[in-house]
Amino acid sequence: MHCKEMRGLIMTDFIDHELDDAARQAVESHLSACSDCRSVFEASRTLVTQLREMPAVAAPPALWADIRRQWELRRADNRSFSFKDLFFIFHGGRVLNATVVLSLLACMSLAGMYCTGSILPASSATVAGWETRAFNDIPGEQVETAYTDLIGGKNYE
Amino acid sequence: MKDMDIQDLSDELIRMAAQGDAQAGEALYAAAHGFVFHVALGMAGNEDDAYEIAQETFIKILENLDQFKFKSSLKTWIYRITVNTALNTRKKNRMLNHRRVAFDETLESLSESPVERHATSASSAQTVQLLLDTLGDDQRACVVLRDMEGLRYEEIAQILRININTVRSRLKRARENLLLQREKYAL
Ligand SMILES: [Zn+2]
Repeated sequence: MHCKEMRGLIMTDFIDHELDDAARQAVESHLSACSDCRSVFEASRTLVTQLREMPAVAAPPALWADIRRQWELRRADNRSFSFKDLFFIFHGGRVLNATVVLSLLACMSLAGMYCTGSILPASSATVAGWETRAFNDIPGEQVETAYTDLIGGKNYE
Repeated sequence: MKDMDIQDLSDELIRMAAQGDAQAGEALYAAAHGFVFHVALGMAGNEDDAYEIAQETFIKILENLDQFKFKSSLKTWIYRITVNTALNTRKKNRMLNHRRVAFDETLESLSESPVERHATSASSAQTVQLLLDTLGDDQRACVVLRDMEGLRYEEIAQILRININTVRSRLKRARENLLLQREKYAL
């Protein structure tokens, strides 16, 4: 194996203990014979040790209190809102209420689409300062969708 | 309540936290805050941003716990939310765009005057943060998960949803990069 390929292994799988015995022994015997690769190994090992020995900083004690407060607030918000309530704004008939609410919803979603640029050309959305894709982050999902733009989806290599 | 390891939290406790049980939520926090804050700090480079990231991460976790399907490991899921929240925060901050400049200036001042540098004495932790900040987000995420968290390539691939060879190539390039920077600024 050439030094170039060897170094790829040394800087990754070898120092990270990801090699099986046979491959590890091959690298070791190359290292004992090749001083150039040995210096790459020494430098990489020092670097990795430096990163690994970063002192752990504990999360500040106030963090949980902050999180809990926000969590409770949001839960309270969710509880107090009921979609059904929307249909009893007026004392008129259901049809009147439904019509009013549905047209309000339609207006809101049109306004939403306008703001996020989905019914405008992309350029005007950017000019307006909106970037809808960049902040997509729905943590609950475990299927491929929202995250793929962020990491590992495409164009990263 | 004694802090448990994240793998030891029962499905029942996770369900209770998902339903808003404060004690269950706190047990989850106690089991996860160590690595969440550590990753947040590694990704952000400073404690203020790390605090913000960790806070947002836990709110997302607690609010979306009912969507956790027990198919993947909870730990992987939490790592993933942490990294994504950190990446989004970095993007936001970059748009506001001053932090990057501040770091570049710090690097410059470090390289200009070795004497003064010794006086202000960049600690080893600061040095590492400066080095990490020369990496792009995707390389940085791999380095933080591998070198700070000690995760295996396979786990990193799952968290970032990338191929294991992509983990390798990002780590290799990140380390080449870090070695270069270290030499350039004599850190
Ligand atoms: Zn060699």
